[in-house]
Amino acid sequence: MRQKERKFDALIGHLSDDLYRFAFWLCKNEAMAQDLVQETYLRAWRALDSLKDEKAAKSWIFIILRREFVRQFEKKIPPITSLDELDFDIEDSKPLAPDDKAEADIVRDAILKLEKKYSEPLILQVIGGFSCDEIAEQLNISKSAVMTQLFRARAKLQKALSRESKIGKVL
Amino acid sequence: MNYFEFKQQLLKDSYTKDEEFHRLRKEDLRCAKAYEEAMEFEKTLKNALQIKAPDNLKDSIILRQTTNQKETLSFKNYAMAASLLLSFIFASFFWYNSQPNTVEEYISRAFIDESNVPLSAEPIEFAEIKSVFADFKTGVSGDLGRVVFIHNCHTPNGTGVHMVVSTNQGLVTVYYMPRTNLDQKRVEFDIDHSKASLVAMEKGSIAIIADTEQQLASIEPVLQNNLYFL
Repeated sequence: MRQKERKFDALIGHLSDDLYRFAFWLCKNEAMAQDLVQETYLRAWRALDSLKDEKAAKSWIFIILRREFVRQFEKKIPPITSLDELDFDIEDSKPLAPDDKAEADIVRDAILKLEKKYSEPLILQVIGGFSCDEIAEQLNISKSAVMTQLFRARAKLQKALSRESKIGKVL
Repeated sequence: MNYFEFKQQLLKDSYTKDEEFHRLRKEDLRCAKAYEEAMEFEKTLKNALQIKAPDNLKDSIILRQTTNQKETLSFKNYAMAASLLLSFIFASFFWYNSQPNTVEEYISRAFIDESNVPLSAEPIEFAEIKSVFADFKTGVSGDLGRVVFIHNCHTPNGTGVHMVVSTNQGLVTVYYMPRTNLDQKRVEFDIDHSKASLVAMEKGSIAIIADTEQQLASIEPVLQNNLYFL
């Protein structure tokens, strides 16, 4: 197998699921998210020779996805602000206890209501595992702006959760 | 860092590796409790965001990439074929346009292109002259003069004879074109500083090029009288 194909397979193997989750929360639509991920990998394949440092692959492909989203998907996303409006069931990767599932649903609902500037850094941090510095670089904003947005995003989610659940007493 | 700063840090980045943050987490009871509750929230947050990716995701990525590669390859093939076709069309167009449209043009170009043919120091033997003309079912009944070059050549219609005759006034070039018939009996034209005549024969035609009209006039009857169709 050629080196390029090996690199590409590694990119799919390690990152496609997280990339899909990021795409899903950006698009709020399963089909669109899958399409966005496919398009991202297609662009990654074409530009794979430009990826010199394989350690930077994760950040590199998340940036491609985000650019692709802005380029041709952002305008098409349905105006969904509640979990009830999503036209599919979100499946959990592992079965949750009923209380945990209820709390997760409250948080999902709250995430859907978050402005993009708050949800995007939060998803990059929680799903992508990126540091504040890396998020700042990806979103092309300052690190302090990222920290502020993360602070506000969590505060909003916790507030939503506190209305519905005792776990929200963290604040 | 105090308790409130610790709580703020929890909301910004609870995964921080800051030493002061972790020292407080271990030593301050209120911070430890806040950290524990924050980790509970992070767990809920992760559960909320960790949706299941489609089972066919990896296959669909590879399928899209493979299909695109084939389409690109196919497009490249079509582009290459189209490019070759266009090149052929352009080449044909320019070749066609560069071809002479009239017998005069053809003769002018042939005369200029073949102006440096190797001339024989001695006159070419009559038998050899007869033999060259015989290939075109043309007989030679008498002396054509001091022929110093004779060879087959291309004509507007098939092949013919290219001949150079040395006269006292200079060289005279003759093109015998057995399959090129003229609309008129005689056409006169100039090629640079030379004079040329196209003369209709019993079959085909003959082109004569010389420095002066006198030379043309002297050699034309010789050719008319001595060449005949077999």
